[in-house]
Amino acid sequence: MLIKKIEDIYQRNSDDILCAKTSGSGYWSNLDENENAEFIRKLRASSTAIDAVKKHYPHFFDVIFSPKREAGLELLDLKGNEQCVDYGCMWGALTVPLAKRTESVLGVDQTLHSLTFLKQRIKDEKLNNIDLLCENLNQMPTLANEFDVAIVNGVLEWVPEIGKIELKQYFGKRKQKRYSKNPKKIQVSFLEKVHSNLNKKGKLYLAIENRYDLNMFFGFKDPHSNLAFTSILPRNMANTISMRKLGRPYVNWLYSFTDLRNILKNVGFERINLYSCFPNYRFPDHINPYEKKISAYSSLFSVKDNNGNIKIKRLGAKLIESFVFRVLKNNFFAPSIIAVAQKK
Amino acid sequence: MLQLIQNCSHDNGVVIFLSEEKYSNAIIKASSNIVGIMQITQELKGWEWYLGQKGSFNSDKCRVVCKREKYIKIKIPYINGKKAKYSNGLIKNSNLVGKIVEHYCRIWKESKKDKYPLHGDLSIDNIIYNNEGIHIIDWEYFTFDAAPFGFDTYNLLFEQLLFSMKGRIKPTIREIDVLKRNIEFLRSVSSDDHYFKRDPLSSTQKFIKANSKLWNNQIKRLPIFFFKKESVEHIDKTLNSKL
Repeated sequence: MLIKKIEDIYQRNSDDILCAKTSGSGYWSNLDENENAEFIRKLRASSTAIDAVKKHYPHFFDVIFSPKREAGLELLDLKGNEQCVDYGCMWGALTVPLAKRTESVLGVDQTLHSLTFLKQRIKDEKLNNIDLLCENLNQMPTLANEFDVAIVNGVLEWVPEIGKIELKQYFGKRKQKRYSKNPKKIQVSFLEKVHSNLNKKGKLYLAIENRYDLNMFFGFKDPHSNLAFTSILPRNMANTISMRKLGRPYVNWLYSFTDLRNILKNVGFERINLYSCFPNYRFPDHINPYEKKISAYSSLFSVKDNNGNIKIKRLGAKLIESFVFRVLKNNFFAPSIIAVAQKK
Repeated sequence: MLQLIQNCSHDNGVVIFLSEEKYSNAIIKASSNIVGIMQITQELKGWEWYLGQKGSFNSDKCRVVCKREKYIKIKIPYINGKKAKYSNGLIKNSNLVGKIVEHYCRIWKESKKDKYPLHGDLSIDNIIYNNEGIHIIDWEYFTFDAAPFGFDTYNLLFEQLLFSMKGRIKPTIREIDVLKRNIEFLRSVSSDDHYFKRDPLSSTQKFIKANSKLWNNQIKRLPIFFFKKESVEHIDKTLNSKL
């Protein structure tokens, strides 16, 4: 039923990916567009997606294939009969493991190259319960009450972005841009759509960096803008810094645990469980319920620099980290957040 | 609420969560890769057998939660207690090692069979002890009727000896005494200890090598293979003469 509904709006290309009938969708990738096209050519010449990545982009291997990435899915308490959607699925780090656990998955991403790669991966894994839709998340039609599970993994902070994003040319690089809407409004409007697409007892899995990650207070760079302090500063100050250094406002808004809970509540989710993740949500070693004191964490700082010398600043950071996470056992400054929110 | 306690720590794609429940906590293990699914399936079988032998099997506390062609999730009991440091070695852990050997004999119940169930990873690190006694965990290499009686304990004794010897070629008299005491106990329980009668250390190694499939061909990682050749010869010779 659902797929038929989508097929009325989109058409399947030669790789069996659902694409917009008229215009293209958009672009967001770690690889430049030309590089990605070349990668797809190499992929078609390789026997499997794993072989292609191992040979041509070994540094992306864990990002795509590591089983560590799927740990958070257990928080959804899946029964095996769910219809799911993975928003911003990219190369399928969660799409594939989710399909192994559930009835069906719709992977949505605006970058056709990423989906073409994912299609090969799906073939290699012999999975027949995944459909792929090439579409910008902000332009995706509403599919009300269709899904039991929605995944928004490392995506919410990118939703306010506009235009083509080739990450290598964009991350920390100067590129003038103007945005017409407030980033939070765009994020909330996206989450409203996610909420509406879920059925009555549907669950959302949302993973994002914590705005108040302890790292940020020591000048570590924001993983989205590559600028120091932009996540923790008031938004207008972050905007000023970003405008000056990058020529564009700061739009990759992150949130604290409490802010994220409020946003989800306002969007309409009723049961919200938050978890802190160490060292990050992508490859978590520890996931702790936010309401409880931290029982385990991975250290964020090394006291030594690359040359093996102990640095006073790092030592100070380490001491503060120990105090916050080991003594106070406080989740508030954890690096990442996973939210599992149920509609009712 | 779930709490992630291990994420693919042995490169097997298995995630381990602690699930805090109303009346008692539980451990959740899940995997979507071939090796992980195999190990979790064996783990559940191991727990079922072990708890059955103990007379405390409860199908609600030890069961498959979700199973699909390429995914499995199980729930097994959480045991509250302490773990000893495996790196302490045979002398410091001698009391605990003795209790584990006794526990093994009680659970495995010698019955003049050729083959007995195999735990496959009976290390100090997989033992939890509390007021109720010894509890064996991590059953992912469990196989029914696969090993001679006592195999897991011989493996444990020699693993502990290795940590105790800290690179020495020859064990001390105390170390040999602890080994002797435990092996004598095993022999007093088992009427038919033919497999380990001579050269117990090399016999244990020989068994593992001959059955490497039971360890997914990953036997090079097992501590028992870290003994130097001259140590193996010396230990076996000494034990042969003392037993």
